[in-house]
Amino acid sequence: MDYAQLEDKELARLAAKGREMAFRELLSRYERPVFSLVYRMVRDRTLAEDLAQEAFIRAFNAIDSYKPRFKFSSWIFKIANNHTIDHLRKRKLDTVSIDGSPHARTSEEEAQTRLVVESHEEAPDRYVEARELGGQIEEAIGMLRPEYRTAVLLRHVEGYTYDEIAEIMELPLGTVKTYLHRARGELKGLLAEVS
Amino acid sequence: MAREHDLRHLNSEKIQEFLDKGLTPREEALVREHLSACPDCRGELEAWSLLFSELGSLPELTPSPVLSRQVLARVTVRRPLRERLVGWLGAKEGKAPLSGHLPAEGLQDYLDGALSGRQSAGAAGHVAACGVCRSELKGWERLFGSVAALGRFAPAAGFAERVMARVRVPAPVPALWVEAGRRVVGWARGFLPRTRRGWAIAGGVASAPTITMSALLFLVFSHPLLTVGNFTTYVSWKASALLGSLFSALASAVVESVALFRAYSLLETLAKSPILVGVGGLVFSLMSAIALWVLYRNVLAPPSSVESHYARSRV
Repeated sequence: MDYAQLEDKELARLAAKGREMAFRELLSRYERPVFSLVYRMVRDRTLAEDLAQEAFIRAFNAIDSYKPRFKFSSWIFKIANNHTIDHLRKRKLDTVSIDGSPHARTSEEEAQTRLVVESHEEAPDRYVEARELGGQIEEAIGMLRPEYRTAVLLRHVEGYTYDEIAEIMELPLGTVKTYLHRARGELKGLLAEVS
Repeated sequence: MAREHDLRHLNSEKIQEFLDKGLTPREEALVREHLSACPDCRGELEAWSLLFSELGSLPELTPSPVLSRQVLARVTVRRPLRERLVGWLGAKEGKAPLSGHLPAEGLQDYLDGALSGRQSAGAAGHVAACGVCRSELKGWERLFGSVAALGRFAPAAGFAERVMARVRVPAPVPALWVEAGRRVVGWARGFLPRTRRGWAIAGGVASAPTITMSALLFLVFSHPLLTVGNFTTYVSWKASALLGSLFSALASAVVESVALFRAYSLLETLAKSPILVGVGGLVFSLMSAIALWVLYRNVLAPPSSVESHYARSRV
């Protein structure tokens, strides 16, 4: 049986029946998109791998609860997004710029909120992250609220419709539209400041 | 005495009104008459006049280009009732921005394909005619393109193995039974009705024998001489007689069968040679073993172990 030719729903059905290859095929299809979303949300490669790994394990161990009337991709993204948001809320992470808080009103406030790099030698992971997430657009996305970031990435990187994003984020359609409009407005403003 | 309260002089308010041309003709004439006779007030007038001149020569500052658009996009005007009704029938909003430009959210929804057909056509027409909105739309297109061009990242090597190490793969159901069951269910589904009318007809047809039999039983047992016990005894007697006659006919057919007689004769001949008996037994045992092995591989062996082996050999 060529699992690569099967649709996601059929693979999920086979996985629920105990076919390990079906699990592996689903994993190979969605590990990059899910990891990319989580990585851009937490901006820490090691942490993103742990969170994405945990999201897949939860999803696969609850494969029986997947309902075929929904898209499998929406289901797995929902689990990953919820898991990441829960983690961010627990850690109370904030989007901090290395150059100081974007909300600073004076140069003194900016200096106080500026991150101090204690070592001139970057750890390998930090070097990779700086290289991968160091572009203007990536930095601008990193300065958005987590909910705005998720909406923008799902819409423009993963290509989901408004309805699918509402299903993934478990939000009303109007809220998703509002998030997207505000996120794009903020991105436009941030990129205009840089240019 | 302070100048402001000295009734011999003009107060600053009166001088400013004089410079602003805010006095009546009679008041202005009185002020001019006083100024011609009062050097102090003339000096005060000159000072105020100098200030007015400096204020008037301040340069006009230019706000950010987006300021006016942002303000105008958020200011709405109520169109006449007739226009609003026409707009409500054909569009989402009954209000139009004061400036006549599309709001940022509208341009984004237009790019996202989230507008209805009519709204999208209206937006396209406006953009084609409005250079400001066309420029704004291009800006949004560039932003959308920049975000869409972001690539996907790959996790570190071994990610899949770490995930699968903690996934509980359910015990698989034997494939043969699953496939057979699925085929039977699929075949049976073909006979199921698909409409309410079909279900009504099927229900009527299925219940007809039950109703008929019930009616017959009622008619039969409504006879005073026929009871359930008598009927049961009669049926069992008849069934026993039928089974007995069938069994005896079968037994006679078997015993008197020519084929069976020939087979028996053959076995009698073969049994006279021990070698032939041994070979026959060996062949029979071998065929039995092959049959059992085929049965085991297709019914009892777990398919995942076979597929995993195949998968490992592919990788």
